Amino acid sequence: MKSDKGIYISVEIDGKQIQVPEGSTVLDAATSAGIYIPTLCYLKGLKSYGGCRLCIVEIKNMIGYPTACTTPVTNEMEISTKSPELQSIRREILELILSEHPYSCLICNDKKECQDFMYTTRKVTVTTGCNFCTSNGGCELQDLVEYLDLKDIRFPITYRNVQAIKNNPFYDLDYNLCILCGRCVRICNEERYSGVLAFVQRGNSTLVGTAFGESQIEAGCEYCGACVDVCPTGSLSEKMGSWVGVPTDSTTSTCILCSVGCRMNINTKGNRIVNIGPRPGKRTEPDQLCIRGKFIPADITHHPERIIKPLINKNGAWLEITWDQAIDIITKHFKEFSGNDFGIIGSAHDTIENSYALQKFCRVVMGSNNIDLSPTYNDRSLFKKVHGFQPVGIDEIIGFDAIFIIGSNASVSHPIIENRVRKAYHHDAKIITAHSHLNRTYQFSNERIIYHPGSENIFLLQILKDLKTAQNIKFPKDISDALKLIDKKHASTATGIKQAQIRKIIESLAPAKKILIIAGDTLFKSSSSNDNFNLLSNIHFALNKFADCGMMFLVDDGNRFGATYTGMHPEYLPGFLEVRNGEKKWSEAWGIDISPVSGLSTDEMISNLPGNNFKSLFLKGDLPDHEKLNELEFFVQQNMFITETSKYADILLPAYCFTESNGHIINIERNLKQINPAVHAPEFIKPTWQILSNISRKLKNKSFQYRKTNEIYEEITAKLDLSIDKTSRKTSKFVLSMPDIKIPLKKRKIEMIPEPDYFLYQGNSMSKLIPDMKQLIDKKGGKHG
Amino acid sequence: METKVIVGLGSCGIAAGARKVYDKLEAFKKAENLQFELKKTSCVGMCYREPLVEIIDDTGTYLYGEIDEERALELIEKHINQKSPVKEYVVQSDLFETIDNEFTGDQVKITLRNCGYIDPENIEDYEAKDGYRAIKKIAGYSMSRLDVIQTVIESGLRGRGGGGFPTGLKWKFANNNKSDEKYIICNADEGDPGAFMDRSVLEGDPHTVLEGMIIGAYAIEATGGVIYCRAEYPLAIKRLQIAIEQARAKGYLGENILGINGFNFDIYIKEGAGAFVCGEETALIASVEGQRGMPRKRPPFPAASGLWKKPTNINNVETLANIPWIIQHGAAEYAKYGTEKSKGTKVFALAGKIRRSGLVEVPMGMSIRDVIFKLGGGIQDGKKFKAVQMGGPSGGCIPAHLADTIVDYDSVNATGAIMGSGGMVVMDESTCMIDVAKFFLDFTQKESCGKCTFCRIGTKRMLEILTNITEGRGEEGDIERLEELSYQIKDNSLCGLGQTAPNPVLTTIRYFRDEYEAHIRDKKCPALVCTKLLTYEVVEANCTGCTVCAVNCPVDAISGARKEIHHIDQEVCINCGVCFTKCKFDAIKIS
Ligand SMILES: Cc1cc2nc3c(=O)[nH]c(=O)nc-3n(C[C@H](O)[C@H](O)[C@H](O)COP(=O)(O)O)c2cc1C
Ligand code: SF4
Ligand code: SF4
Ligand code: SF4
Ligand code: SF4
Ligand code: SF4
Ligand code: SF4
Ligand code: FES
Ligand code: FES
Repeated sequence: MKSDKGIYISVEIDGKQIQVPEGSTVLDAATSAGIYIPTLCYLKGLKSYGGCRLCIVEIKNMIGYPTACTTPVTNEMEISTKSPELQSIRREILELILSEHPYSCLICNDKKECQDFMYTTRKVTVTTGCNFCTSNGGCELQDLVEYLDLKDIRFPITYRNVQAIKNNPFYDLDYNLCILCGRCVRICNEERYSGVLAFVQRGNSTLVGTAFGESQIEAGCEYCGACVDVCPTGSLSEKMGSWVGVPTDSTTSTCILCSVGCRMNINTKGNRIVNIGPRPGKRTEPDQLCIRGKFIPADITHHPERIIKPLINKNGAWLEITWDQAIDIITKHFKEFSGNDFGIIGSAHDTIENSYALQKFCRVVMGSNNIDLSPTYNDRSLFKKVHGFQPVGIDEIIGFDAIFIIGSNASVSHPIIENRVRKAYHHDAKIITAHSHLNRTYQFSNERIIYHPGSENIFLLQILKDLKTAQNIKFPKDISDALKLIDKKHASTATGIKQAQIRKIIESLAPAKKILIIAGDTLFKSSSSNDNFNLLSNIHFALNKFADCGMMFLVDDGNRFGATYTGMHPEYLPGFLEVRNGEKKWSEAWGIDISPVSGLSTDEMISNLPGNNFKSLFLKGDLPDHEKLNELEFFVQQNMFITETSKYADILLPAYCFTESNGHIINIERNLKQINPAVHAPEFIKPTWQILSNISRKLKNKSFQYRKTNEIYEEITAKLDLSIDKTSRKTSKFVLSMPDIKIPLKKRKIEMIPEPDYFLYQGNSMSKLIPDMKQLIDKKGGKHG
Repeated sequence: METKVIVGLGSCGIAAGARKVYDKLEAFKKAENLQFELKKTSCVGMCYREPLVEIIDDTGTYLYGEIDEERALELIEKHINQKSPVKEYVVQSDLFETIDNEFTGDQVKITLRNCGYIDPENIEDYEAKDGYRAIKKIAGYSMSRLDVIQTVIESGLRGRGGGGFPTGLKWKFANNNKSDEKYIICNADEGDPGAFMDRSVLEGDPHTVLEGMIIGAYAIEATGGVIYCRAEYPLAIKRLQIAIEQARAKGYLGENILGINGFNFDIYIKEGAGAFVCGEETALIASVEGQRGMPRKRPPFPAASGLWKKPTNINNVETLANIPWIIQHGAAEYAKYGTEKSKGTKVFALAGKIRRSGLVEVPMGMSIRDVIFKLGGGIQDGKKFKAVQMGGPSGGCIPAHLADTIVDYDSVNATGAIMGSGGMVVMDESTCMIDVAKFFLDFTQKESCGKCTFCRIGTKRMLEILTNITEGRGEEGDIERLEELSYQIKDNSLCGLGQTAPNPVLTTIRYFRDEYEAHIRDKKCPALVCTKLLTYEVVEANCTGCTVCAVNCPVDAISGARKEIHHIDQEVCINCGVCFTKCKFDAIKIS
């Protein structure tokens, strides 16, 4: 409930005296008094619409029946919400709505019996009654019929008879069921700023559609699924759900697919995921997700090609073996290739518990520091340095009055963060977007910069140099001297960005009180990664001289930070303690001597094959196909699917999906977030830490034994501070390194950083797993990429 | 003085062929090297006499009606060359009486003062008729904003867009809301079918609308002006564009207008796609902002939060056209006309079964009877006056026995109709009132924005019931069901469209309930309009057996040999009426 000035006023509602903040609506007031007013078009979090008219009330000294959702309260207002007159009008409204809806089941005398006994097949092409509707059981119309005790509809039924739209892999649109509450239209435009949905036509023919009659994808749909979440009827429904039925349980968990770590609600029936989104009946709580969080987890969890038993590679054929056999074979080979012969590549889509277990197993049981993630960032110390900056909260983003977003395709990589940028834009923040190619964020930007690919470091130099002069910033001498050497003309040629454009950026930053830099992941995947980081830090330093400047690093995968922090790194032990420094903390904790020599990175493990004495690999997830993997002596892959890379593996172990897992991740805000299992993994699948414990037991190693996920969590928290200190904002001054900007454009090697595939889960390509999706992403790339 | 020949080139005139007349005159004048000044003007209101050509010479003014190309040349020959006016074509003259004097005699032209008299594409013409004097008066006498507002309040001017809200008060609210940006919008959507008052003003005297807006902008401190004009009015838009250019060139628009320090104001035209609901002010604003024209709940009223969330004042074209006159002549002069609560004049578009259809401007307080019978010349073809529909789709039907109702907001409201924007559709005994109600409801039903339940679905259900009634499927209880739905739709709709949509139905039920009952109980349409309820029979006495009916009947319902009396098989007949129109011997009767 919003309160502008914190002033409370008193109103009387159904005889109850209550105090509500000024600016509340009558509906807010009723809710706070615990009084139910039926609604349909209203939805918490969206602007009131006033369309359905169900929330009408009577207010003393007001003529007619004002709608509670749109009427602000005034002092001493007397409101009545339930008079027989009101209920009868409400019944009339519902009757009218249902006169254009297949209502037969709703008022059918045999409703109960039918529901109990009728075999429901939900794959009919048109919905002709509740028993054929995906919304059955979770439908707000059904609730209202019940509440208003509607027994009879005095109008002949009219059926719109429009074709159901099934043109995408994720959700179906059957506008025969639409009651035109406008929630989908509003959320798509007002909250997601996707601008896809609109009302089309007029009068009784009004319907929801896309503005120019295009398909969803042509109209720019981002498949965020927000519209599906908010629809009160079966008009919009998840495809997945139509196979399953009404959810009976729901579990709150965290999306691991990108580092935003959205809170998600997984609605299930039996051991099946029905859909993912808000809790049933709470259409916007928790907040909406993006395409990946909303639609992918159910698809991958229940994927028909999932492997559910350990497999052994017999000359290219996969044969099922028992876990005992698998562990025996693995142990035999791990004995043979321990120490530096051995390495582990893990995934940043995994819990901190698994990450910690993997790296500990590698170091403690196998005696190797060859532990890394895939893919990796070029700058190996990046996360340690990132850790030096105070994290910025996702919901703080809209509080900034200027945002400089560079090197990212955030609408795809971090849709929810980009959504907050869109919001900030609509709240009049100045948005400056810079990247090597156009993307959707440019629609929400005041300054749009497209620099030559690979020239982001020089572009940042241009900014820094002008910033220094414009704001008269005192840098340490080495930096000042370095900046003097920059020739603006040369820099301009190198980046393609004119001096005037740079000036405009500086001008739009100048009046801001709070500035946010959002650094995209492509900045750290290029060879100038180190330069980029240093330059950004210096810009951050400069901006902090006149504004409050926050810095957000768009790290990619869900637990990228957490996994690195818990030791998935060849150079760092948990907590970023350097292997080379011979830190004793972990040696003592684990009761062994950790080798003070840095391990091999993912690239080093693979690209030097054969011949670097590296012989054996444990891979969690998947890697891009790399034929050198063939040179490995022994290769175990734990993954949900058989992939291209699996052909090099000797043993393939099934894996949990995060929807089945227990544990934690650390997201982009460096908040610890919980992953909860919503469904059970198929019977023969074991979590990674458990497999490792079994191997360890077989190897007779007592220092690595876990029976529960929680034991690992307790071990981590006992030794590692997971609550990140948010109070001290450290501004790091990193030494300015000077890229050579004098090489003429023609001779410059253009470094094309390919757009990373963000549709990966533990290295597995979702677009390969969900065939329709590939098409979709290709099209998307065509239009927005 | 050089003789002037002025052709009326309003949309209606052009539709009647005036453009051709003008072109003909122009070509002829050139070819024959004739000495007269050929000019254009717009609609003078006598639509029933189009095309109109006025000749002004030393002797006086002669307005000729129904002038086609041939007659135009005849006029040149006789009136100009031979100096003998062609009296039989004159519809109006300052020298002698004509039958059309009745049409103009009781009119008082304030809004339409220049329409049909000046060239709307020429700012000097407007200036010559005291144009832009009002704003000059404000600048010259340093009238304060509050003085201007006070004058408008005292004039008693009420909004002519339909609502009838006092214009001065509206300005005062907009003035009270302080903001660095404010807007004034001229509502030229005119979505009411059959209404063309605003179009005529825009086509005939665009500068007076601009001047009204400029004065309004001064009064409320608006920084920008928008004219929201339906795209179906291309001529109005073109003339407005020309007028705006001219006003800019002369400094009536722009910065520090007429030397009033800090008074910066300019006007843009926004073309509307022609949805009726876009005339509703919040929908209009949404449409100007590029969104779908959907009304939203008020408050906040536009005066507090309107276009781009800034204080905004919306006025109708006709409202604004009155403003310059009021400022120039003073509030008292304006308030001399009209009744206690409705001051000034009102423009009406007369249409339907009336002898003289067209545009009239009458002082408030004139009786409907006078408007129809004196100005309009009564009913066509000597038929009986049955009712007049006022206020278009939001209005209602006033029956003949209430014809003495005077035109003023409150008197018209009391009948259940509304003054509306000024459409008057006259109906005679051959009009079926249920058919009329159905027509208007069909319109609003289709034009509903689709937002709220009652308006979107309720009107559709009502229409279905009306259709059933007119097609012989009416049932007992339908009237009550219609009334119940009507009141719920009126009470519970979000915007004016829904709130007034049932009015045509309610008023026809109120005054013509017996007609409804005849349709429902006896399955009869007393006005013989609802084809499904008619029976076609052969009048044996008249039938010559010519076979024309049988040959033309699309379903072969008519039998009979040549020269013998024919028969219609009622089972087969589909009531199309072809036989009735084809029979030359009045041998088919309808009942
Ligand atoms: C459905 C609907 C349609 C309307 N159409 C028009 C219109 O076409 N022209 C107009 O001037 N006012 C129209 N109005 C009235 C306007 O909302 C508004 O009251 C008017 O423009 C205010 O100007 P006024 O005070 O000068 O009359 C309409 C109102 C409704 C509810
Ligand atoms: S949306 Fe589905 S469940 Fe709800 S009332 Fe309609 S048919 Fe029944
Ligand atoms: S999925 Fe998202 S972007 Fe697509 S229509 Fe729905 S709300 Fe809009
Ligand atoms: S599709 Fe659903 S959310 Fe959208 S308007 Fe229709 S009923 Fe409402
Ligand atoms: S934004 Fe990231 S965390 Fe949120 S749903 Fe999408 S992929 Fe998952
Ligand atoms: S009353 Fe009709 S036109 Fe007005 S908002 Fe409601 S649906 Fe739209
Ligand atoms: S009314 Fe039409 S169908 Fe009936 S008899 Fe005449 S021509 Fe035939
Ligand atoms: S909930 Fe208030 S009008 Fe729909
Ligand atoms: S005289 Fe032409 S519109 Fe009337």
